[in-house]
Amino acid sequence: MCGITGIFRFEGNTEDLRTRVTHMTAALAHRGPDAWGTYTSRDVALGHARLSIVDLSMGHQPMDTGEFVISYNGEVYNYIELRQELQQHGIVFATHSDTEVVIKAYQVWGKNAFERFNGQFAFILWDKNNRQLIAARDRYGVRPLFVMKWKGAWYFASEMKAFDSLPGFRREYDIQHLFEHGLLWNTIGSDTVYKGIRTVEPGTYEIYTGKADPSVHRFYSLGCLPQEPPASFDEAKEELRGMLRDAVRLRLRSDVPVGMYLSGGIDSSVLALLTSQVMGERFKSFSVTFGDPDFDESSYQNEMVSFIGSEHHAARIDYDTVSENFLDVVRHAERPLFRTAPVPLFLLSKLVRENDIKVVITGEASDEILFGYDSYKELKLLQFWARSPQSAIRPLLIKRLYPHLRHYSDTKAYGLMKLYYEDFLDTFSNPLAGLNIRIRNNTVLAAALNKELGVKFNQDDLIDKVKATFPADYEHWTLLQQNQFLEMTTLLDGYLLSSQGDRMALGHGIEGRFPFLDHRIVERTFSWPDSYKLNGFSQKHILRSAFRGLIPASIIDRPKLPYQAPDLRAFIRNGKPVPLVEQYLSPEMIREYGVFDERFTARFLRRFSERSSHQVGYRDNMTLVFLLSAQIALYWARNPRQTSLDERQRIVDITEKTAA
Amino acid sequence: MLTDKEVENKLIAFICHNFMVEPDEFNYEESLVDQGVIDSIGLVEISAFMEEEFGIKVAEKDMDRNNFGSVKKMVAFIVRQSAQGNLTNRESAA
Repeated sequence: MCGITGIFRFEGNTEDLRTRVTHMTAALAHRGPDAWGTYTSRDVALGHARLSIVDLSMGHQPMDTGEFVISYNGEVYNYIELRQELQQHGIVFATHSDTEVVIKAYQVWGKNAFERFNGQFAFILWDKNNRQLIAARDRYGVRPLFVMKWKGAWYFASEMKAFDSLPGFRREYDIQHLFEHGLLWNTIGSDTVYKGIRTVEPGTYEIYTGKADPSVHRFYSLGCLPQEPPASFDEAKEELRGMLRDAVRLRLRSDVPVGMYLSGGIDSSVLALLTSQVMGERFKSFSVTFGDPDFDESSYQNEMVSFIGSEHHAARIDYDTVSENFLDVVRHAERPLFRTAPVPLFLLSKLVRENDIKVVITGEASDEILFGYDSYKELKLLQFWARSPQSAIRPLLIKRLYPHLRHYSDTKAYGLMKLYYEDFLDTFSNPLAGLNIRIRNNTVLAAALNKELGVKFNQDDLIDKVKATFPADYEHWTLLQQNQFLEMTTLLDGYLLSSQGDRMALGHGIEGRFPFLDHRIVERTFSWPDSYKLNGFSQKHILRSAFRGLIPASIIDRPKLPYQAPDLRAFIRNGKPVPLVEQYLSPEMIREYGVFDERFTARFLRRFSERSSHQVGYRDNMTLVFLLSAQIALYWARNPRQTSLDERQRIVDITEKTAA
Repeated sequence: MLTDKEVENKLIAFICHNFMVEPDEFNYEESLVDQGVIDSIGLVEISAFMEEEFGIKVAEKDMDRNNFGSVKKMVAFIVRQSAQGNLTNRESAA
């Protein structure tokens, strides 16, 4: 995995361009600690920090084939097959890297090349003959790519901190976008929380020809691939096993050993089983264990470890580890967080690195594509209840929604839960589907923002903005399919794959690979009836059924735990904020940064001195992590860490003398 | 016996203190959940506050939009319960 940077149409000289792109690349050295390089011509500069995984001796970047130069971050897993196909077209290859396959696929198939790629990628490609620059990103946004137009030039980078190295530039929040991020767990479309910085949207490529805005083209959206009619449930189970096995097989292609993350849940356990079957040899597995037994899943992890016989390593996390690493974690994430869960993932990638592994298989996205989230259950319940709103029986299902939460099964509190959900009966089927509840809960952040900034919550405006991102078929989908699209474009893209995924793994130079995000699986499962995935309230039903008897029943049948992490207990001790919180949420710093309301923050912190951490709910937890991380992210934007590169590791240094 | 206004003031003070809003930042005639002032646990906290502060009893059957659908409705509910003597003694409520 790697870090990429680029500059286009810079009104300066080539040497200055080379210096700038080098500094930008230096800011991303953590993503590619093995080597780095730059390409510079009159109008374009590309930078690359490399983590060597495929074709270690060749495959250096930026890669220049004469007609094209690329700075590429990612893996196209089917590169072997594509290479063979291209060879049949008479294409000759100089390396065995997937990088060269990407360039030559573009050379032969042009923009139609992207839909042939099975994998995770972001790249910047300079087409010398046509004098155009292409910026592209994989279907689901596994790999990042940000763009900024600034002072007559376009700047590109895997992480926004690369922009901080530009003389005179400073990242500032766009408060409206920050608020939307708070409501949805992601900004909408190509927005980021920072002014003037965009993201290349997943599944799109952009063409830059000069100073004008780029043309944006979509090569993938959810549900776009035609599918055979759904198989019977039993056939679908068989199909799922086969597809997952093939997705794992492709993701084990690597010239360095591959390890895996084991959470103790069904998703990673299924992948561990398939990895051990495909690989046929012992591999290393990694997990997080919590000092506090309330959060610890090690018994399930150990069960799976002994079942597959992996060489297992665990990173143990306690409250201090969370608060001690939070500054670094937010520096990498570059945006506000909602949970502290990225911290364990950050420490896990460190442990993986220490054990000489660079690539890990991991179980993300199963909850999105197979309906594992509670939002799917909530919608199903509301849909059922709304057909007979007066029914006294239908809402009783609420008791089954969250049996682990005490106030949900308590008969008296049932009345209150019913009241709570009743409020969504009129709105759940609006285009925001399952996000309605998240938005409602997160609206508290409107009160947290500095009142002088004048940010207001307008649900209709938000709906319109989100609607603009919907694929053409959206309105023909079931409510649960719609919810899948929304979960994938908010939580998955804006948090799980980025703040908790790419940034935490690459913080220590580790590449994650996600078999559940093989687009063939996403598309096929999307076409199946909802009931295959959410049967009654049985979540990920088909996955459980398909692997019953193949992995331990205790893991298949374990009660699903809600997200739990020691957030509050890490930041509030005995009713008192820890020094990190004291510092970044102090009245002075709140005033200096001007993002949040002083009075709100003070009141909010006082709340914790009045009750124990067991008495505060999801929302307080989220609010605290959001406020703290938003302050810290801004601190890093204002005080970027100075980084440099070792000249001895520069393996590519191309300067095109003529006007390219 | 507290007046409607006194009940309303106490309830609003509780909401502002606990849910970090200013009295002029939310509508007293609309649902607090709809306005994003409280989440589900907020409803639990408010009903506990009603019992502790006003000594009334909140039964499962009372938990509906008529009684909890807005600040005004909650005030009316508290006043009605107090008047009807649906009180619980404070020791057992605590």
